Amino acid sequence: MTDTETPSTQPSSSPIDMESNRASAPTMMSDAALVFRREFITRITSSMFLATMAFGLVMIIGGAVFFRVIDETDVDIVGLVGDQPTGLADALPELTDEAGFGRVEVETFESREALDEAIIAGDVRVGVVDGSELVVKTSDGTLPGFLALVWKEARVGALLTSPDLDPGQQQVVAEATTDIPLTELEPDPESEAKAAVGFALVIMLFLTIQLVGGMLMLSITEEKGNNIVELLLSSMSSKSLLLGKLAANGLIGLIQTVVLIGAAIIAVNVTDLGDIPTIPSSLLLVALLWFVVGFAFFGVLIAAGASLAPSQEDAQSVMTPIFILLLIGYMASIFVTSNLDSGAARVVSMIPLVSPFVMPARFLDGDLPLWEHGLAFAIAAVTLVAALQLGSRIYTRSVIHTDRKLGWLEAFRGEPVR
Amino acid sequence: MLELHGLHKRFGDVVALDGVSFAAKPGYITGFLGRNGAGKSTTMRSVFGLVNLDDGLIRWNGRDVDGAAMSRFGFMPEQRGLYRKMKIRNQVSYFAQLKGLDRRSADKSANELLTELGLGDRLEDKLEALSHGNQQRVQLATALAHSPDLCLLDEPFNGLDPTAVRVLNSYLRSLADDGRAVLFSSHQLDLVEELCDEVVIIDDGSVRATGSVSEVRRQLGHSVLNLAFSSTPDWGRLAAEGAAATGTRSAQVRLDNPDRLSHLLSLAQEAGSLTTFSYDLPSLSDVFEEVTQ
Repeated sequence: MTDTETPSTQPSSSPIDMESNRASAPTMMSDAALVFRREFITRITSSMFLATMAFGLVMIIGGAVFFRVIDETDVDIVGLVGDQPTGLADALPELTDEAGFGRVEVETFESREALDEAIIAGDVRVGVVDGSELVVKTSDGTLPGFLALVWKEARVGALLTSPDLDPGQQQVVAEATTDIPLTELEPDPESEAKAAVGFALVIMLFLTIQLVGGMLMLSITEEKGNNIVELLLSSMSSKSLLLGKLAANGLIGLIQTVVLIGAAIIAVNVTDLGDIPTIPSSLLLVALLWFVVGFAFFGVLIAAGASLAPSQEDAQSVMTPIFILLLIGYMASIFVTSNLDSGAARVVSMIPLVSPFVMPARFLDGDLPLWEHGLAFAIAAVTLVAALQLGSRIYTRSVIHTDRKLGWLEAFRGEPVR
Repeated sequence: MLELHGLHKRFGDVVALDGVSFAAKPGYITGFLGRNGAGKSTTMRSVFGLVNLDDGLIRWNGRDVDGAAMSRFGFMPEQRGLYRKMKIRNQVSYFAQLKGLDRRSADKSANELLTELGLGDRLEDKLEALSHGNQQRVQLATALAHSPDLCLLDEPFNGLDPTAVRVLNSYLRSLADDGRAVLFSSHQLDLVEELCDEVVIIDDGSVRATGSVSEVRRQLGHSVLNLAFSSTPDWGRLAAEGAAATGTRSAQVRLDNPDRLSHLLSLAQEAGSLTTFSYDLPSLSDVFEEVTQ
């Protein structure tokens, strides 16, 4: 341009006219929604997420199939030789199954010698000779004792219908052999299975929060390390960015939880493994609710920690206190799940670090008064609000600093940007 | 119009901005010149609230800069940065949507702008698959895809090949011709002189010169006489009149008083075989050197 030239006001090759194509002016929520969408698509199609899901599904389905195979091969053979009480051989597998001895099959032998050989070879666990003698290789386990009772009852039954005894003698025999009744105060045939599901829930929630938290950390440090955050914050507030990231990673965690738990239930049911109890739909809701609380609590702290580090390498050291906190919550949850009846465990389960992991397990156990559940939720909600404020304060003050690592206190005292 | 009034910022003991004031007008391309660390990037970042100012006022069209105003600004920061594993079309579209464009328009704009910048056949490529120069073009596209009313570009020509420089040059001109304000920083003074309508020179956090290119060139209050000879002149006589050699057979004389022009020309003819001469204002480069000393 020469000294005398003035800027042209007539367009030559005008840039694209976007006026008519503008949505309304961006708001905090519209920005957060865009961040959410990009983050969600990026993370859910990432090799890290897909590999984790594939690994989890392979472990669950593979594990179920493996145990099914083990289950099929783990059969106790009861060998019979000579006369036996009528119908007992056919009824034995069901009787032993009801008594919790797993799978038992019956095999009939031609001679005592053949039976003894099979027992010594380990092919037969217990032999029954003429309904009056039990043979084992080495006395171990409770199956022989149980079989002794079964045969004894069969013999008593035969005696009670024997024409050799008059009614008075039969009455005496019947009274003498009547079982002493067992009164169960809190019958719960599924308690062991419930406990197993409870542990699985704790572990699942812990691993999911840890994994998704790790993804959130990588996402934040990527934007800091590559200086993307400066461009992002020239377009939106740091709160929108944080909100979108937390929501997207939280949803991924929810999906992961639902898919893996669902796969576990289906795998167990299809392969007819064990006694996984019917899980009420309310448990899934409770588990998902507590996942949201737990992820929001730990997620915002993880986001705050990650925002202090200028790169992924630096993030590891800054994040250590947060991951220790997560681990403490997990260990305490295992303690609580192992001691659901103890008062101390019930108190510990109220701690906000612990309740997200353990409350679904307590709910499943059935011994969770509504007031305790409500109180735990109220405590967690109050703590969550404080964590969100603290995490958000630190994140908004530190995320723009890409040149060096900040301390927690320095970030807390710093000035916010955008 | 973007107006900056008395911006102050200290980082510890370092004064980054010391009362920076100037304006970037719609329809104008404003060049923002300064050495490294002079305060250019801090000034630009402060427009987006990325720097907490100690004092000062930033206004857009007479009002404080808020989120709505910022959505009409385009920014190319000094520290380049984009998502390495994201497809470039999606990336440019994403940043345009963050500025308020609906998705369809943002996609369309990303396509058109990237094609205009010579990346039409790379739209589906991830950023990391592109060369450094092409990544720079994508960075530019993210700043411009929403057709901003104000473009703040920190060293936009860095890393661009001559073709891309020409395309960007033309695009910035078209933005200004369309009534948008363009403010960019650069070390390439010849480019600034060629492209810019207005210039701001900053040094040590203070604005040292501002105005149209011609106003800034006049600001030193003197002119220069450039002399070229067919053979080596009598350097002694020329030096006595304040002439400085600019080559083996060329010299430049600073003229504080235009009345001396005829006298100097006569002297030059006596000192050697004068072939050509020009009388002009100092170049932008001369002004820059002098005000930033």
